[in-house]
Amino acid sequence: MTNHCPHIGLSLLMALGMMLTAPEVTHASDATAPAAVQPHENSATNSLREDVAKNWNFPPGLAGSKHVRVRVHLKLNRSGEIVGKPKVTVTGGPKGTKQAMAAAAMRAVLRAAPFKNLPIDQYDTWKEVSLNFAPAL
Amino acid sequence: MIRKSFVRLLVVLAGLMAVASTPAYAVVELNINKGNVQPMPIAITDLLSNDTLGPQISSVIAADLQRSGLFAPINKQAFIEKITNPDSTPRFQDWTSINAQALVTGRVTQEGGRLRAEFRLWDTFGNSQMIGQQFFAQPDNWRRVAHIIADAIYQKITGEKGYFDTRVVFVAESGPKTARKTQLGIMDQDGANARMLTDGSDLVLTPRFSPNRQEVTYMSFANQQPRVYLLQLQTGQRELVGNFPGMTFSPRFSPDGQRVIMSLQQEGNANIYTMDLRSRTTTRLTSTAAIDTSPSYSPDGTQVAFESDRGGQPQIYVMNADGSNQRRISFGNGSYSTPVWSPRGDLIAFTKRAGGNFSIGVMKPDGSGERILTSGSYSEGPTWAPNGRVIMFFRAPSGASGPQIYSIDLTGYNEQKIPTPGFASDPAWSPLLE
Repeated sequence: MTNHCPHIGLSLLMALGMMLTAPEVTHASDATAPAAVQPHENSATNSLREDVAKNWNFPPGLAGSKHVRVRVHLKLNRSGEIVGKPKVTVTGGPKGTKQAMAAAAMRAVLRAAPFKNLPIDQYDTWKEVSLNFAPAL
Repeated sequence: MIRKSFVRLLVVLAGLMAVASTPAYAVVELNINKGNVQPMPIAITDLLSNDTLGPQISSVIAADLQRSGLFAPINKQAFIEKITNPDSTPRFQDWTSINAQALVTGRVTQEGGRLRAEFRLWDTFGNSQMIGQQFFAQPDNWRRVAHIIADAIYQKITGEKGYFDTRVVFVAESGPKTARKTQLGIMDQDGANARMLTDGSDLVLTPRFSPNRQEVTYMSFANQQPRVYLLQLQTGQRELVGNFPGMTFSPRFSPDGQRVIMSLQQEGNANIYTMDLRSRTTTRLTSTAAIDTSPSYSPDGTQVAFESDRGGQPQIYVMNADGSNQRRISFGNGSYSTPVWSPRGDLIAFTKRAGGNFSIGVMKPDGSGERILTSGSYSEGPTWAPNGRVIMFFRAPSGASGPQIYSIDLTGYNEQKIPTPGFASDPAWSPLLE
């Protein structure tokens, strides 16, 4: 068989094992809005935000990425570790980009955790956090 | 009535439940707008095999992903876990501790003269498998298997289709500048498997793939007559496209592969024509006393971008596919040529010349949003990767004795030289096979 022939007898037979089981992605309308939402930042939450931003690694220039909004809701224990599975909500943009951006946001959170240097006396200000990812590209 | 009260009761209950679940503290909302656009670190282990095929396939996968500029394969020396059974779940911590955000494992076996390649892509921080697939191929096609695996990884992580299992036709140039020999060449997108399609006895220019990748249309000076030809890649059979009295040049296929659109020169003017490949009927689309050339269809086939000097110097125009509604879209300084519509449909790539400077850039189909991707010495002829993310072009660096092919990301980063057997120009990227 020569190289230039496109029919090379190559076939995808089956997917092995399970498919992607990573971040659970729900639609915005399914998400329960937190009861008391007030943008509230202090130095503790600022450092948390910086930690996640540093780890938010996504390919620049993905089709329609500027329309994608990803929200990751997480609960933290007093040691700054994530409790349970963070909840991911994604809206806007084309499907492929949406999934890729949701997974990238989830990776950023998981890579950044556990969050260190969060003041224990201000636990109430960071025990439950919603991160809104919106690429400014 | 009863139903109404029941509904009211439900509303009250729902309200009570909402109050009960209200936390006593505020949920902090944090906005993150700036990420880290560094390439993503990925660990690509050698696919297990009894021969060298496993490591060979892995190194082609790693090279593809690295060249895309979006991934940074981690040096194998840094790996902690040695994968001995690709069917079992890896020790994720061994991979997150070397900062691998994704991991590739797998094996290659040969059964009855066939190669079987399996791979799994793991989300190391999410502790889960992202994809697992297997492929069968003839052992000779191991590079293609590697490209298909790299495409699957690329698509899973970026959400965009890959472009590694593609090829490029180009013009290979050899010999002295005054007596340059040109041959039609074809190679994988990474420069591997290059071979010649013509023997070099005639000058050849502007090869372009058909949508099914089985044919190439190009211009050749066979019999001293510059004409557009069609070449069947599988059989090597060549035929003339149309029998026109004048010179035909600058051909390109329609997105459905049914027509070739090209320029026909008569008495110093050139106009754009299409030829239906089945009925062999031709249709004239432009009629000016200028040079109209380099036509390129929009991916939906409804519009054509082309180059014309009807306004004095070469500029880009767009018209409907039937030739109606011709309008100029390029208005910057200098001249614009070789428009090529992106496979995504949202951009047109072009060559721009201003002063002594050449640039490759993109603009929207209405002419807005012009963006230069790369500038410098003589550059020309952009061609799009099938996913609309990467552009190849050719450049003759000043002082060099011949041109070379380069690729650049749509973001203007990651310029790379494509290895070719000698000098090379006029690249045209193949579509992806579905």
